[in-house]
Amino acid sequence: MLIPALVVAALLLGEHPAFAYVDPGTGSLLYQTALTVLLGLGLVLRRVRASIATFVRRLGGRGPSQGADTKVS
Amino acid sequence: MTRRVVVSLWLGFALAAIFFYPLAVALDADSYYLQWQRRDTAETAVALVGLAAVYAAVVFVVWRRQTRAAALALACAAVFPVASLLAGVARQLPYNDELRVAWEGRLVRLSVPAVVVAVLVLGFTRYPQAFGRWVRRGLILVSPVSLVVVSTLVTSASRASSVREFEHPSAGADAPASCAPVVALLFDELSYAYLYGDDGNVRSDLREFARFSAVATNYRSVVAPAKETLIAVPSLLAARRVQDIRADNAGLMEVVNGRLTPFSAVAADGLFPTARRLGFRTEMAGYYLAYCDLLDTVLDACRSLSFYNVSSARAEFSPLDPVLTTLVLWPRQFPFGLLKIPPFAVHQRDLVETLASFAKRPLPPDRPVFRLVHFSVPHLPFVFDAGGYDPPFDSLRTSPDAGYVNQVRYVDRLFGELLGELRRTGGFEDTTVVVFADHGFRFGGRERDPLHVPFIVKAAGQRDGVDVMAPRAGEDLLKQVLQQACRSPG
Repeated sequence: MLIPALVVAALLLGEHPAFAYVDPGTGSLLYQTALTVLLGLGLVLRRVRASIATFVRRLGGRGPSQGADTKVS
Repeated sequence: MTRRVVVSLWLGFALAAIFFYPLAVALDADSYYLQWQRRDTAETAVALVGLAAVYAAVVFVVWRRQTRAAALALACAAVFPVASLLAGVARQLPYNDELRVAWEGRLVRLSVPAVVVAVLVLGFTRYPQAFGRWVRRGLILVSPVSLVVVSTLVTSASRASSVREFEHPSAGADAPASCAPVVALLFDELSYAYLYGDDGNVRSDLREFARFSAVATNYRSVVAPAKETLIAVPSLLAARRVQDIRADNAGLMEVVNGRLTPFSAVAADGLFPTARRLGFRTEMAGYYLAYCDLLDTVLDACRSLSFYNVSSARAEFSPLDPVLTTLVLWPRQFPFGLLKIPPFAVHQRDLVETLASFAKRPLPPDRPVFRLVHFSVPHLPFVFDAGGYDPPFDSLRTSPDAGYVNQVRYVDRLFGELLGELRRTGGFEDTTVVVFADHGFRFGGRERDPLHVPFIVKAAGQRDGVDVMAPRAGEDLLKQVLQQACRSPG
């Protein structure tokens, strides 16, 4: 990891500011982008819903390990 | 297995498409500046498919593996698309001047990326499995953005119609005119204060300009129409002062009494319609504005180049071009500038070579020509010096002005080459040559007034230098030079 860290450090230290250059005006796909990220959030939540449920149960004092213990016994 | 294939294909496609997000942003609102054509869309489609295949293969191999190497491979595959997405989002955020100034501060500019890198490195080294898990979740989170990119590309393809090049046989006046040919060389952002020294003469280290100035008319008090190209060049083309211009996807719009109306450079009293009326063959090449669309009815030959679309300067079909264009569209600020600057530098070189090639075309033998070439130098990126193409590490650095000074020296050399070509073909003596600028250097340095621009005219047959001190408006003067080129010597 030392070499990549040194490379990054060298790039950071060697960088100079470039003043006052601004690209032409930009439009806004931001709203569409935000909406699709919400869609992505739905996909992620679907993927991790088991973990979330477990987490919530733990908060409520009914963790999965408790159930598993009961089953074993 | 099927699920793994579907996930790989989807994420491969998503990563490829997300990389082009800045291009989609520019096409959505700034397609005018890209001079987008269907060929560009085809290049982008091929590039997208190729990248998608590569990314899909990577995802297929590493997606289910929980090893440190798999997490690293996935992170490496994702870094450019995600950076490109961030670059595209950054371009749309409503920055104000305070934020821009804050980011120029060394502490903020360096510490924020450093903290991000440190957190990622720490996360990877200490918790590789969790790191890999969150990389996967992050990719799924942003993957639907690919739909925005593709829909924008499809929409832009349907309205792509920009013409970047044409050549017609001479048209205009029925009888050949008795005018001298006029070759006008517009060097973008060539500053009066950097061209002329305090003694009032062209600086001695700019030998070609000095030599030319000594046998030409030096207009000492020419006022540019505006401080920016977007307004100044349309004013020059329309031969009138334009108050304000906006570029939207439909073309250039002029602000008249607070209302937007389509800008026209083909009205009867415009520069090129006047040239046509006088009997000139009309030719123009330039960068930044879509000249071939703007002047299609009044030009006999045209070459138009985009400042951002790399493909516009290249004849061959290349899927690499949209990739480079996307990098050119990244913000110049660190760390994005590290990848923006190299392709931007190469594009600047290509622009200059293409425009110089147009300027060097032989003068047509059957009719006097009015040829206007709008060069992209000494405007940034500063990639030339007196020796030619030699880009520095940061070619967008405007302060101190060393990059600009070097590029002005290159412009002097380029100007000498263009005149040399005219002399070689025997056309120099009988041609009116004009050198001028749309505005001065906008970033300080020696510049005192960016509206005070150089304007030097060597009329056909002129041998002696003349100084004209009376104030003149740049947009009127060029048209007047044309008219004077058609006056009889007596």
